Amino acid sequence: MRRRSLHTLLLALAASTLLTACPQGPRRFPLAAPLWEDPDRNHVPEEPEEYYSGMFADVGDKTLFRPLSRLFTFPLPGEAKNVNALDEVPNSSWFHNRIGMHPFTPEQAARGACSDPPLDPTRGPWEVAGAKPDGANPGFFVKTPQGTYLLKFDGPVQPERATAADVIGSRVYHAAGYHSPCNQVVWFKREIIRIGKGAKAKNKYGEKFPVTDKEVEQVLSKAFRLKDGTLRASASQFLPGKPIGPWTYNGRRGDDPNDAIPHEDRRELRGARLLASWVNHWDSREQNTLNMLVKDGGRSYIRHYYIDFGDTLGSRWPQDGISRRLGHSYYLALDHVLGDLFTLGLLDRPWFNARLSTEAEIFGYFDAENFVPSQWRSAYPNPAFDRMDFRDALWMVRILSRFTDDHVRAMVKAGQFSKPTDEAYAVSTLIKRRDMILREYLTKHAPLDRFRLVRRGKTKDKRAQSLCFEDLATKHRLAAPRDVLYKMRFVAGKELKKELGWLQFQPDPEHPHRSCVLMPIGDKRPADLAGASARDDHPLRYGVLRIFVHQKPTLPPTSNMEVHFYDLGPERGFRLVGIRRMPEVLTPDLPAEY
Amino acid sequence: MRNLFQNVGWSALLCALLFPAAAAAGPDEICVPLEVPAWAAEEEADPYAGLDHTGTPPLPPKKQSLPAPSAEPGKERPAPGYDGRPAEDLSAGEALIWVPRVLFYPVHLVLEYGLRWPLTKGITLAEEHYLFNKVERFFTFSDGDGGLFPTLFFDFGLSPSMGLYFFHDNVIVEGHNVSLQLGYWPRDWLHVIINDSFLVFKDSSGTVGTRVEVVYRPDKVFFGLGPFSRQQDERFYRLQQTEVELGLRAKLKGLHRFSAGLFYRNTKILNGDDPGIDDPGTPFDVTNALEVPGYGETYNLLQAELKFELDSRSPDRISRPGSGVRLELFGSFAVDPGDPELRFARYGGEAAGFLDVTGDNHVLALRVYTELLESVGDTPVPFTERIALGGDEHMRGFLEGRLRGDSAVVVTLDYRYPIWSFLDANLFVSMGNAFLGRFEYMHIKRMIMSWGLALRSNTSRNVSFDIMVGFGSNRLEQWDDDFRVDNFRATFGINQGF
Repeated sequence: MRRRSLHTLLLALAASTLLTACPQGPRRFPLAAPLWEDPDRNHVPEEPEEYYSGMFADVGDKTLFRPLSRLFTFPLPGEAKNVNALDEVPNSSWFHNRIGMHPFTPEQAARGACSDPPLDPTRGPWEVAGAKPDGANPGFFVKTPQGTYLLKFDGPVQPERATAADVIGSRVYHAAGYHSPCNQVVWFKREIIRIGKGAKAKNKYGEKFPVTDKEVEQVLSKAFRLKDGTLRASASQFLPGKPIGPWTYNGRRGDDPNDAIPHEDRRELRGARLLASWVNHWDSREQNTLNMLVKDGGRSYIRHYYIDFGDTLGSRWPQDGISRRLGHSYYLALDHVLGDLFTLGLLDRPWFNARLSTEAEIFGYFDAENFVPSQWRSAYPNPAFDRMDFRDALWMVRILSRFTDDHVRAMVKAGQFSKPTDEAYAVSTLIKRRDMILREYLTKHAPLDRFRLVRRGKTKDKRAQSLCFEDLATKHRLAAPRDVLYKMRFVAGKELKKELGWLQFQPDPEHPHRSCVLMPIGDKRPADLAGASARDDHPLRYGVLRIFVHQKPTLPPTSNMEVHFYDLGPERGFRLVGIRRMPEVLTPDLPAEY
Repeated sequence: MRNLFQNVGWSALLCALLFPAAAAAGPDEICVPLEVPAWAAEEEADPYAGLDHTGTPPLPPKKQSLPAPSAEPGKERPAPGYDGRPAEDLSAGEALIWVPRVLFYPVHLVLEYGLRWPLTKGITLAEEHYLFNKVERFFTFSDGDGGLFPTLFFDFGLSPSMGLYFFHDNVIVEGHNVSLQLGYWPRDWLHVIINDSFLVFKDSSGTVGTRVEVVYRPDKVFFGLGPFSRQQDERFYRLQQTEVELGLRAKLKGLHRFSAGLFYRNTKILNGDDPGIDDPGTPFDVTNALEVPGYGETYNLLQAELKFELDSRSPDRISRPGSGVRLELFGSFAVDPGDPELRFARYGGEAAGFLDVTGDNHVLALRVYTELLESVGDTPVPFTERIALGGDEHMRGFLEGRLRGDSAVVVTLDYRYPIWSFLDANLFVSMGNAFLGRFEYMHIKRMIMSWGLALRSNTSRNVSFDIMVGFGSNRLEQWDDDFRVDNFRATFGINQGF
């Protein structure tokens, strides 16, 4: 009897859930400008508490406890939530569109978040306000005539790498659109450092004590120094506002009323996986982020920063087994451990092929030869990275595609390597890794970007609009233009199933990365279906251009996507209102009038 | 038609013929055969600048600015409709997944709030208050040169033990190191090791030292002597032994080693206890006991020992493959000062070849070990001094001492491969046995097999921490009628040599 009741309950549950899953009609984008400013900077009158994040707790949670707990919630993949109608991320307290959307010069990339003049090592004194002499990352805070900075040093194993990486990484993230501090390399003399009044140091037991010369020398002993005694450090300028601890890669902050989107569903955090893979920011953990309570325009709100990039460009652990796995596997990746155990270690793993660079040994295992972007992993599971889907990845790929070789050179130059060979290695490896990311994604997914409606005046009807776009795969020479073919189907109607026209063409050899098609495609336009008196946002004015991209002469396309329009009639023309990149590769049906 | 299109390829002519509308629209719209010049992926000037872009959505604001408030100050803001579309309905899969979610919700609750939450919060709290470092400080002193730690040791089938490990390096002078290991388990289980050593070379490559070891164990096992010993003859005996050693250990170049030692040992053998039962253990069968040399006796031994290890492998695991050969030779002579007729020599060695099949520490090894004991007095050598197989080095699927005799040979095939940053896996299969005299009755048929899998720490080629499961069979000659897995063994501990 009890068993029967259980069956009935289960059936009822299944039926009720299925009933809620009735299919709806096509989801149309509204006739509106895309959301470019996420209104997440409302005034927070009550100051949020400082959040402490423990590293071991976070490693244990993300590696073991959280996956175990989530196992029985049967999590499903899902799309990022803060994505506008154009498949882009609006500006917010987390992200600001820069190189991906606007012209961005190499000089801007080299400057990063720095707006003030560089820290001048002749303008002293630099008064030590606090020190952390122990641990893996010793450093101290200094008050200078130009502001307060955190000074960090290289350590003896990979001289110049950590300080340069901290600077280059901050610029990469800034250019991509993230909030990052102004980090810069400084060369200075020991004499400029003085111990400030009341300066305290903290030992590894959390005990504070007055800073003495011993602590200063202990920290400076980690510094790379020239023969004349000049010391090298990375100086990270204090961020504006009040620090309230790291932000997390999952969940929301309960005491921040602006934090409406679970962080693992924020595209900029999910897509950051590819950016991290580019520079091998394997230490992308929450302890390397920072929330700042800022005051801006009479409001107080939280701005979210990436802060520490010292692990990028090949940081090594004392244990070689870990070092050669960084970027390829987690500290503890059970899938890899068990996979290797049961296959007798015969699987071809990238960490077996990893070799310490002989060209520029400071970069450890940072290379392009063993880099597979989609397989890249942070040092331990990152909830946002783990939820990255192809749309998030493509979003970041579009941003990365805007980093030219000159941008890379300019950013690396800011790292101020002493040896030209080190600078050259960093530049060439970053360029190679960027190209590998582009190659992997733009040859599998829709590579089209920068859709625009343009009245080019090249036809009899000067009002005619062309839909112009850029093919990033062709632009970056990842697809041979001779093999590229675009097939297009223009559909409209109530269910968006009525085909109005079709078209297929190859790009122009003169500019194969740029193409334009005359709108509408076909003899009819959606406005004809709606009638002249239909309101502007009438569903029948809606049209969808399905684009199938062939990068090889094969029947199935390589990828496909949709561009959504409202047709306001021949006079006012089309309005581009939405872009969707499709997950599955569809083969187009034969055109209706073929 | 479509096939034709596919077969012909993407020619411009065909394309233009098929799509005159597109071709008429302007040169950008048509598709022609392509010979593309190398294309620079640099940013370029906007080719459509100055043209009418009506209908194109605006770009995001270039400068950071504050958007209009979306909620009252302090009130939770509603998530905006980012793409403006109505919310998507649940798919059937998304709806049905709620069935197992509801069913397993209690499990999730237990894992979330019974495991994850307390552990994460607890560890966070400990980190926030530097508890781990403070605990380390509690157990150590002299800037980490000294320390005191609790220990636990487990060997399946024997009594476990718990105890303390104390060490103090650089006592009084640099290079003078002292350590004390204390293991204890109720019912007369006591194991104490005191080490006192000096570094004799500045590069830490050599030590001289003394070691005192006291063992009181009621769970030592004896199965008989010679190749025909049987698993079912397992008997526990009580060992009371005190040993003092004066030794010299030297690291030579690479992984080469040399050691010499002078030992004094006092040993007493009595009835033992089975650790698996509460009652006192099964004593030796009286009849057999009479035949077991050393049983019920007390003896003293003065012993001198020499050992050479030649190892061509590179100690550098990072950039050098693990191929090479290793040769170990050892010899010792022991005499009872109170009974000069009890005197014997032991000598033997092990030769091993290592082949790193990939160059990445996937090492296949073949090891041949042999040892002989020669009694040169009239008093029979106590069974506790005979050659013993089993334990952590040879025939690892058996308990230490499962096979005892006056001579022994073992051939082992090992395959060691990395599975994690800190761990290698080690598959091994051994064939061997212990014999009476000089390999009396030795024959391939008298061999016993042992195999298993160990997970080993990989920080050193020479010493490792092992977790092992091993198995041992009966003799090969019995396999036709009665193949048996005679023994199962699970341990963790430290191993040396491979």
